[in-house]
Amino acid sequence: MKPRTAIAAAAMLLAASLADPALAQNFPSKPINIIIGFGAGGGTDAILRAVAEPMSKSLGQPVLITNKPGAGGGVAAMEIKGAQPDGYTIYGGGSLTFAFEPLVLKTQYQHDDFEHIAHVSLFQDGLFTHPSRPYKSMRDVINAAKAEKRAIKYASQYQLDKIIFAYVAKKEGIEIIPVPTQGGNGAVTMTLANQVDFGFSGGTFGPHHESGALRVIGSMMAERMERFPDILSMHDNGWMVGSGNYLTVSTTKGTPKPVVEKLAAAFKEGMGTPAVQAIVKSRYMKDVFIGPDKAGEVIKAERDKYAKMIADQK
Amino acid sequence: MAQQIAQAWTNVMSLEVIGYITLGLFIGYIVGVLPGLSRATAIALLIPITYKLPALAGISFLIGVSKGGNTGSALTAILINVPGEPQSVVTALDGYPLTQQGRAQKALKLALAASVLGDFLSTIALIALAQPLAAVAVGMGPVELTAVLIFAITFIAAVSGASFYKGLIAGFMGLLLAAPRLDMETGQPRLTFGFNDIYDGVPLLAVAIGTLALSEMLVQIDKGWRGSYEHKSLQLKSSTPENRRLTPREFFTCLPAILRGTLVGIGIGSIPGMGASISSFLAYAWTKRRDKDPESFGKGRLEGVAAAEAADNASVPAGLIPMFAIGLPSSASAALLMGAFMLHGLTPGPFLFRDDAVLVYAIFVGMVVASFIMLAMGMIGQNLFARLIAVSEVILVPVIVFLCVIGAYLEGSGMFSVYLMLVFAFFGYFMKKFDFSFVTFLIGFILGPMAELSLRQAMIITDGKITSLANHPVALLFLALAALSIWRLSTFRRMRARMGDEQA
Repeated sequence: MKPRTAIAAAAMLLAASLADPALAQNFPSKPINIIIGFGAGGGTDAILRAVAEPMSKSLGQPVLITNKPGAGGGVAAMEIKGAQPDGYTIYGGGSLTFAFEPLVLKTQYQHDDFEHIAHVSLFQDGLFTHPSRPYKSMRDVINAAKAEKRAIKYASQYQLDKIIFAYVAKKEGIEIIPVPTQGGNGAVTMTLANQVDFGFSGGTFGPHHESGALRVIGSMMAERMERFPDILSMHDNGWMVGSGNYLTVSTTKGTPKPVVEKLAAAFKEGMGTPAVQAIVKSRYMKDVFIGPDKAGEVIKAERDKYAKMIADQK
Repeated sequence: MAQQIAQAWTNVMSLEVIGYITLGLFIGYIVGVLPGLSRATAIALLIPITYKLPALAGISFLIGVSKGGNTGSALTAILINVPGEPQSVVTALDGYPLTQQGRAQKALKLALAASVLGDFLSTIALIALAQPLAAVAVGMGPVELTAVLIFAITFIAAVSGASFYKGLIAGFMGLLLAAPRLDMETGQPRLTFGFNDIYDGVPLLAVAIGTLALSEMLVQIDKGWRGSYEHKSLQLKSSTPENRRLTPREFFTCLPAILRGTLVGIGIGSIPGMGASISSFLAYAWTKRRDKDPESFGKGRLEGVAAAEAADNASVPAGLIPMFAIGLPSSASAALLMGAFMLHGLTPGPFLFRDDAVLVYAIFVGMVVASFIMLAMGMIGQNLFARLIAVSEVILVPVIVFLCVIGAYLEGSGMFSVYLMLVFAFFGYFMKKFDFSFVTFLIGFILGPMAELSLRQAMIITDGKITSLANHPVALLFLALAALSIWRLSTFRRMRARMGDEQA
């Protein structure tokens, strides 16, 4: 099975490199599949479903969406890794799937096993608390816990936040205990029920912040959130760590460059439509676009950053 | 909220959704008629088909199968005295005597009317009750949720299956099977034995199709080898035209029985683990007791059929109340429906109303629409569906085995899921042979990750101190109820054992 696949792949590559311009011209000649590494209903899902519509129009072929949640996007990533390198099968999800997961989990893929088409927007991870608690900033949370001589509890979602707050705990000389929850929704729910000192999420907290059910007290990123320019970031607090998760689209390694570029252009155009922009805004995401020339480098840089963060813990 | 309901209405009124509801009811009807193929089995087999569908179409389709299956099962009960589903035993009590008297079509029409009415009223009850209950449930923290789950699993173990201990063992086997996955705190693989395919848990469909569908086929093959397939001749002829019709007068005489059945179906059906068998049994008993001539029951009374069928069908939508309100499946088919929700990235429970209100309302609207489609389908097709009774196992078994393999393969892990399904088929076969409860097993398996998460959250939040339970009176109440259900529920168990079946 394996040699045959390899030969087939080699033949495909050869054919692709010989027929590059023609292939890009004919591309796409059949429907394109975007496989989302996360469940329906989240920010990734909402945006990519909205983008699929203008993309179908500009590419002249249907763009179909499937959800394959699991292993932090890894299930979908593996599917892309094993697909034909022709640009018809696309991963849609967080960049952490490539930049972080392989560092903490024995994944069967690495960050450079793909052609990263583009990063189409940036999740803005915010920290929030229940409004009945007096905290206005992360510093308040730490001071309160120190004064009361108790541990801080927060709604954790995955490995990255544990590493970040383990760093903060060490630096501040305090105990920070992660309470496991599932996804941004789980973290928001746990904080709404006032069971923890704080929680974090991407855009999920948005409506609750607006209704006053949650209070935003920090950015979990190195920089401040675009939407909350006065709220301090991790770096502002003196913590040299932070999350950063792009909404990334990637395809199989070996996909001809013109095809990748054509897809990137279609994504860029789709992201610019008012319907998509409205979702980006409502989910508190940052409107950025990093094309195929830089997308891979960005992932590599993020990966190195996280690798250092993990190494510093030990 | 009115706006959301309007939006839900528009979403349902598309050719795709209505089409899938109709198809679901149609398949469900067939499944109900075919003996040896239960509703839960059919749902397990059909979940893979819904993969590529939008959540609304897929879930409405599966609910359609569930509803159709219950209605269809009355046919075999009435015509050949073989219940297509366990709960139709009660329908056969008076239904089959009616057939023997040459009044088969009258009985079938009444059964249909009672089914549809029971189903419709119960759907309305679901719509009215689920959201207020969910609103209460939203306030529950992890400590309370853990207590509710402990109660649910012990209670279901106590009421389903012949033995409480076997029920509890089955429930724990389900929980154990839910353990292999990435640990939710450390993020590291746990009990995965190097298989990356189970990082997010053992695939649901491999387990469900294996233990429910393929194992049932093994039982059938087993039966075939022993040469004990039974074939009964079909008596679809009614002696006179008036025995073929259901007069409005007859319908109105039966109306109290239908309403009683519906009430019992809603009440009992919404309690986890009780389900359709007990409710149709109780509704029948109630109607009989209130009648002037209880002796004539069992000899062909229309009221008997009406009460049983109304209760049976009312318990299906009612069974979804705990699922929508607190995320607790009440039967094997509800557990599978919950699995289907999860495959679509949705978690049934109180937060579904908050996060995806339009979808929930659309599912409700779809269920109401399904009631009407069911009525039309029954009126047009009852006689045709009845002919399916003659389908031989020799044809049926290979087709279903084929569907089992395809279904498991479609889940996404390829042949891994298929091999896993084969293992679980033998597991399910021996569970059947040794009378372990499937319902408890499946519910344990599906609730496992949720129970683990909330238990571990509760442990961290209370700092692992048992004394802090004193601050959680609601949790204490449910823990006390769990203890009570272990201690007291032997009566239900005996009643179950008398009826000699397990509700699916």
